[in-house]
Amino acid sequence: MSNRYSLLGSVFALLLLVHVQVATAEDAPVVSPMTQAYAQLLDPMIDEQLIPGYYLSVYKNGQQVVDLARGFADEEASLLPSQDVLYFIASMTKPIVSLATLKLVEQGRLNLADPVKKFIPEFSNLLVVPDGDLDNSSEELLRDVTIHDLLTHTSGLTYSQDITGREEIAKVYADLGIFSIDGLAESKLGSLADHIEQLVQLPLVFQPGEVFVYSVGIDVVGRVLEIVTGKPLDVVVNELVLAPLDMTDTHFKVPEAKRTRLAAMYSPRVATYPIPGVYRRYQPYQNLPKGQPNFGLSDSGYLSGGAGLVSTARDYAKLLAVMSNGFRVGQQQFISAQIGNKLFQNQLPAALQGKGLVYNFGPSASSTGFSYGLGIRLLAGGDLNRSDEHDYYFWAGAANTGFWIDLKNDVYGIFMTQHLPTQYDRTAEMVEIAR
Amino acid sequence: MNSRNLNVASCWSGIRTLIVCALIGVSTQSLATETVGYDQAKLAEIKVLLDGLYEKGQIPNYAVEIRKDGEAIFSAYRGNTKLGGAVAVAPDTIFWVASMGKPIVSSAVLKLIEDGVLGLEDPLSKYFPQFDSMVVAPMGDLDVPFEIAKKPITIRNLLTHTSGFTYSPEVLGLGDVAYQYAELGVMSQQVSLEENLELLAQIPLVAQPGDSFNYSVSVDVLGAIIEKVTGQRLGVYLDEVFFKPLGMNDTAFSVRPEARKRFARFYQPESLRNPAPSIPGSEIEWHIVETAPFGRPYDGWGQVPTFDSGGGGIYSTAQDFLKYAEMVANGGELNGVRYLSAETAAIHFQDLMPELGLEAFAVAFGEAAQYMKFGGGFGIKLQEDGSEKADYYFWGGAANTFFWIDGQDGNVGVFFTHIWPPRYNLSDQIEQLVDEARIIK
Repeated sequence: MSNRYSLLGSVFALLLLVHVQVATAEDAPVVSPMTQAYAQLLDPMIDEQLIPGYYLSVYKNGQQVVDLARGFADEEASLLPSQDVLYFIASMTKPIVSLATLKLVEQGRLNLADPVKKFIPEFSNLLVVPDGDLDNSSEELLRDVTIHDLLTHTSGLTYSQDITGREEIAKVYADLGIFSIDGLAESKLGSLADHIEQLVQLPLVFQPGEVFVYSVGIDVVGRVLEIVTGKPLDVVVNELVLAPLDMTDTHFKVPEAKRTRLAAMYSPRVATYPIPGVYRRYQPYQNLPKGQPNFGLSDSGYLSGGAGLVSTARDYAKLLAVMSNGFRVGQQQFISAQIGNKLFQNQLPAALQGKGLVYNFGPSASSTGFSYGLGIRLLAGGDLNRSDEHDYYFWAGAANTGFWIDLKNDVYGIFMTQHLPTQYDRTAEMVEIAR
Repeated sequence: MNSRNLNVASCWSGIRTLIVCALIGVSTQSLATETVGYDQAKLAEIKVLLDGLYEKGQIPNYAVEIRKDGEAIFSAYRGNTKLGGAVAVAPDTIFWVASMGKPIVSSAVLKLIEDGVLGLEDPLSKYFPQFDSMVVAPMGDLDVPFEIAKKPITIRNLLTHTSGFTYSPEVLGLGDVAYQYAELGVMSQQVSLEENLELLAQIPLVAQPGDSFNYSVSVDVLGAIIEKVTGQRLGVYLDEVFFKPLGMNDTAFSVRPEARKRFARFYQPESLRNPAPSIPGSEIEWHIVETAPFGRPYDGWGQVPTFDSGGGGIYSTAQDFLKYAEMVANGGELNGVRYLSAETAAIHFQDLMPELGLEAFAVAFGEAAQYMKFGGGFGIKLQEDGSEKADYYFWGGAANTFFWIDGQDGNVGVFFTHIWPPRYNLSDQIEQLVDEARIIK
């Protein structure tokens, strides 16, 4: 390398040095074979410059057995990933809000079978346009949409076309900005209640209970929680779940004092010309208001029960610990096992037998079930309605975060990075390594 | 056949030595005669690599062909122009080769320089006076004080993306200025090329002319210069000097209606338009679906454009593009017809901005900046051994197309598929396999 190259060369050398420091910090414990196996699986994403960094936490028998960080959580701010870094967890909000709903059910303030119209009267006037295709003539509702339907994505609602929606109606969601991801930072429509007001103007894309369509259902649930309790969603979720579980770093809006712990959001960087060898494939996410490196900083978003939370791996592990531990927090029962265990039972209607999550997630998702906020991975040839034939439970967020609960092996894990949309999912492999 | 074993370093001292280098370039024949062939088993690894992607459903199809001394040394075509369709991808399948038009337009500019119509150091303002006093927003940042451009933008700058122009953000444009390109619709097909230049002249440059490589609309501007000095539409001129005589019958700024059945569709991984949690083990991460690049559906592609975009508007086929590449690799001549003088052809392979160091390429090429130089419309990838010899000359297009001319023995190759946004950066890997397959006595 000639002198001409020395300037940038030293920058590369410096980056290399930082990586080495992260990998071999003096106070790090001896790296276990399991951690090495995870590093071997995940490090190529850093080496190939697909993402700037990641954090992985794995617990076995209640003890943390993997605490693995690589690269950066915010390159510009030189923030290193750790279990205390705040990440936008997007749809990993859904299990938390589902649990808050079950708490209200336990308290007798809500029934899963309640029609949504009991809380949001406009739900009685909904029409259905089959397949969400505007060429099809609209139908009357064959039955009311229930809370259960909302929690299981079988209400007939969909998502905006720039999320998972694929129907013509989903294009209308997108055009209006209904429950959009970018709206979390800058909402075109206003508050949660305002989004609902627009949503109820639009037809459903299927009759309730007919098809699993990943949807804004949990956002509607969020509004129901507000109406039932008379409190804003952030307060409700905090009172019902976050505070009892001591999840003190989980927020809809990141407090000023915690900003320095917030990761930055990244998205794919696309070169339209060939670049020899390895090059940076990510760049800061472009759609956030200036000066905001991630979601969770804005005052002009909406409170989203489907995707609004920012959390840490340490916090989220507390939630998974409770789920793995018979829903006990210490000596206390957080929620009765009878109600809590609904999370580990398939809740999809019998009519969907064998169809699983295929509509949104392709043919291989036929062996995937769904409870309230949790996906259920089946053993090969397993029966969705027999819990002992479930392989593991999981869900994930749009920015490439994910978790799993492996009850049989008493393992759970949380993977954090910030890449919107998800491109690098290694959950299936991560589950195997801890076994 | 002449080899291109050109020592780029020896050509780093300006215009005068450039001619000397050109002569050295075309007279270096050593390696070409030493090459005795290619290990076909090694070349077959290219097919293994691409079949792996194809069979997992990650690319809809592929076309790859490599030629040397006028003969195919390797070719492989797989898949159909449409997933589930009946028209197989073949040497005459039409792809949107996008930025691979840039080297072609650059060749036309070099030809006009050879003809004495243009000069390499001509300022852009000689042809379009609105560019005679530009302001610069360094790194495209509108929050720092502007500078006055210290030098005029020259044709040399336009050929090497050192004009200070940039692109809109979706083509990796730089800073706030890139957003101005998007907002004003610079080089959109809404208005004529001349009207686009009016818009462009109102926006600050992102760097001082000549200071750094910023991938840009520069080649569209070169297209406008060609139209101005020839009085012809760009496509008509290119047809006259290259496409027609070379027999590149499917290379143009639109797809002829009768050829449309051979025009491949565009695909993208579903996950990209689908920011959803992924289901472990599902196909969603890579499962490809038909897509509409820049929001334009398939039927909107290949139509006659408002203006001929030299930077991104060309459609071509593997067999067509190879003719162009062979002509340039062969010193400006093919099958007994001369298109460019040997000296002009050699300029494609010369470092036209020798004073630029690694930092000038860092934004555009990342770590590969240490191996990058830029010639007459061609990227120059240097050998990684520090010898400063060219490994290969190349460029590619936005829908995952790529061509190269080898720096050691002048073999030429293309790799086409239709993935948008581009995802598989296979070019370096494929060229490396060709290098490894080469048998030198």
